[in-house]
Amino acid sequence: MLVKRIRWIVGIALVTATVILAVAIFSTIGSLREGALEVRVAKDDLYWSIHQIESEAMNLLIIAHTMQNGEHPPEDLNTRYSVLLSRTDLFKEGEFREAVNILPDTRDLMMTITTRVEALGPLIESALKTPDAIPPALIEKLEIIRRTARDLTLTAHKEHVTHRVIKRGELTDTFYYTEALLCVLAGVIVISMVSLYWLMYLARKAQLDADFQRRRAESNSDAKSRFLSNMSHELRTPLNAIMGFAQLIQLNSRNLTTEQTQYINQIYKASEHLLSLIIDIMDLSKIESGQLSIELAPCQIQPVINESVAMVRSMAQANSISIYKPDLRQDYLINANHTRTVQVLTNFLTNAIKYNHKGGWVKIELDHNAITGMLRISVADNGMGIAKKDHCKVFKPFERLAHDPAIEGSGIGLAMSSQLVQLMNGQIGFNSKEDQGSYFWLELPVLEVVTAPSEETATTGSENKQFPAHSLPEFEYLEGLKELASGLKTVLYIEDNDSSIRVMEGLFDSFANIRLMTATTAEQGLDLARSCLPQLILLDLNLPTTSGLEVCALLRNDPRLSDIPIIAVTANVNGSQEAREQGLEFDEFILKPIDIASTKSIILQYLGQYQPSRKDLSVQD
Amino acid sequence: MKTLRLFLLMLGLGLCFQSFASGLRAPEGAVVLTVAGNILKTNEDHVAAFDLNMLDQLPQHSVNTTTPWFDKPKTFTGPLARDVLKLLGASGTNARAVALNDYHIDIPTQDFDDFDVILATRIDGEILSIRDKGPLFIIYPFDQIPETRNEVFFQRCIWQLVQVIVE
Repeated sequence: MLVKRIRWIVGIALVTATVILAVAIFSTIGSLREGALEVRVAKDDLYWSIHQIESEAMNLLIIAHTMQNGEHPPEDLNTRYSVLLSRTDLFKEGEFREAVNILPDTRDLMMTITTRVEALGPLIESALKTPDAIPPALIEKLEIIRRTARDLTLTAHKEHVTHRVIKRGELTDTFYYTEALLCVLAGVIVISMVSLYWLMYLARKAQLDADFQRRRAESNSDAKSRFLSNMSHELRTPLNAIMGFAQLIQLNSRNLTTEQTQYINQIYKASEHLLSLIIDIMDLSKIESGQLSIELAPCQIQPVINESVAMVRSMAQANSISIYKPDLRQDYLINANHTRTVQVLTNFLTNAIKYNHKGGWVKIELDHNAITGMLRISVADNGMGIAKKDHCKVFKPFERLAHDPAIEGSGIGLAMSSQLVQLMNGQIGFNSKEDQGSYFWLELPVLEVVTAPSEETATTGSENKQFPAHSLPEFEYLEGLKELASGLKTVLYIEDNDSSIRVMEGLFDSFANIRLMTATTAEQGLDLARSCLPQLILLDLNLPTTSGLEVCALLRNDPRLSDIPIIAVTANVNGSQEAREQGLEFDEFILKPIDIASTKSIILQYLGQYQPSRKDLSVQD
Repeated sequence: MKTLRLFLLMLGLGLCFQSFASGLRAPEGAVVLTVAGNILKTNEDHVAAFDLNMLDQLPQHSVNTTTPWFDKPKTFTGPLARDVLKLLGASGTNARAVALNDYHIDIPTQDFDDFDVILATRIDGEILSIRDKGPLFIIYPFDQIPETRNEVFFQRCIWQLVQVIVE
């Protein structure tokens, strides 16, 4: 701040100094120029003109003397007198008067002579009347005038020389000052240049620093993304074992005690939460590094609300919270991403339920602003609210405002919601008062206002169990596989992780006519595929030596094996994208941790051993 | 007697011839300007003498200009120098202008073609007396043609002009 102020002051001082100096130098040069270019007729002719007075006085004196002898006609006297008068008149006006005025002694003598010459008038006239007898007074006065004129010439000369020397002194001073001013100006220019260079250097340095910081931040962000991506993979693999085995145990819960069933349900529930955390963290990290792209499409708001409410219904019931949906007489077609909008709204609802009191309420409202063309979807509650001091932290990641350790949360939900809404060209905001409740809203651009279909009661019934990481399976597994047997089928599972193999083996235990062969390396898997020609290949993508993608390519290129459907079973969330980039086609992608029921149904679908019936056989809480 | 008659006749014819040859009438009043040198028309012995009236008969021009000799701009009136020389059939590149006090200056006759140089007989309508730098004052149009505003042309503005010798 101080440096900035000093920079300003120095800058202004330099500019002012430059301007003052420039004005001074220009005015000096101007006056010098004026002096040098002056038209100086009077100055050049001064001596000659002054000398002419003496000369004419002499002429008049000669004529006066000789006229008595009849050598000159009388009119000559008159003419010469007129010439003498014109000579003295010359100094009465114009440049000659100015030239004489700056020489005081000369001017005084000139006035004396002028007076004397003009006083000769009567004497000249009398001389013209009596040319034979020139008055001696005329001769005498002319003699005086002649002598005075001589003095005048000498005085003018002396005075002019003195004046010129003084002028030269002044000129020398002027040149000296001009040179000094030029030196100062040069100094100021040098200082200005140095200052400018310095400022540019500082600006450049700041730019470089900023670039460096940005690059470092970018590389940090990249490293973080890589780290999180790896972490996601590494976390999903053990989760596959935990969730897989938990599901397998749940499927065989007949042999368990009630207590054991409860334990296993808790294990499954906790691992589900862990999985959703991993997914959220991955998403947030992608958004922050700008890798997450969201496809926008027209979508209706009513299904979004219904789906979101369905997601939180059981949670609301558990906490005795009432959820009020908006009066949907009108539906809105908004330009957004359905899944992401559901995610944001669910997050609002989850928070409204979590940070509430028993018996509280949560209200969803819609408000269409026709002027801005935005639809505001708001979620209000009468819960704990947010303290004023914490308002600034609401949309910041990893800032958990709840001080109650009993409330679960990662602190990234709202941060991610904010980023998602921005990616969808919307806005997000909130109002809240501590102990009174909160009001969270998001605004999305409306494409069209449509009449709502009759309101569905889609949110009733807790059987709509949601699996956030998986879409609902199209085909449901049905028990009683023995009936479906049409000869022994072989499935090859290439997987290096032992626990994943064990989970898959557990899953296949329920299939009577399907044989599962496992291979722990790519080479072994390829050998088995060639020798046994399985009906289906399950392939892990992260194999130790040859990657799953390479295995897929080899299988596809083998004419005997190319028709065998291949299902990728991977903990790599980007697996399908990577496969697409390499031009590889998998028949299906199953993301670890696997959902036993849907995986079974997918497998059966490819083995032609399914019944297209929709009955939810998923795990029960 | 006869001889005298013949002489007078000859003289008369001669005068007539001379007058016809010169084509310039003799001055009647006081001579204010004599032009000598390479001129075709004369009215005196190899010179052309002008009285004020003769100069006034020529086309008159006026120029209002500031000069170094006066405080304020003055209007100078008189015939153009080139008209005077043309009238006399003068040929030459230089005109030596001579003043009453024998001061003289050489003026290139080209000046008279390039600029409207006036042989001023009047200043602000008043006839120029000798005391007022008369009888003639050569004036260049200084204000009208700024390139003439320098010492070279100021010097050529001779005053109390009485004689011009064309060379």
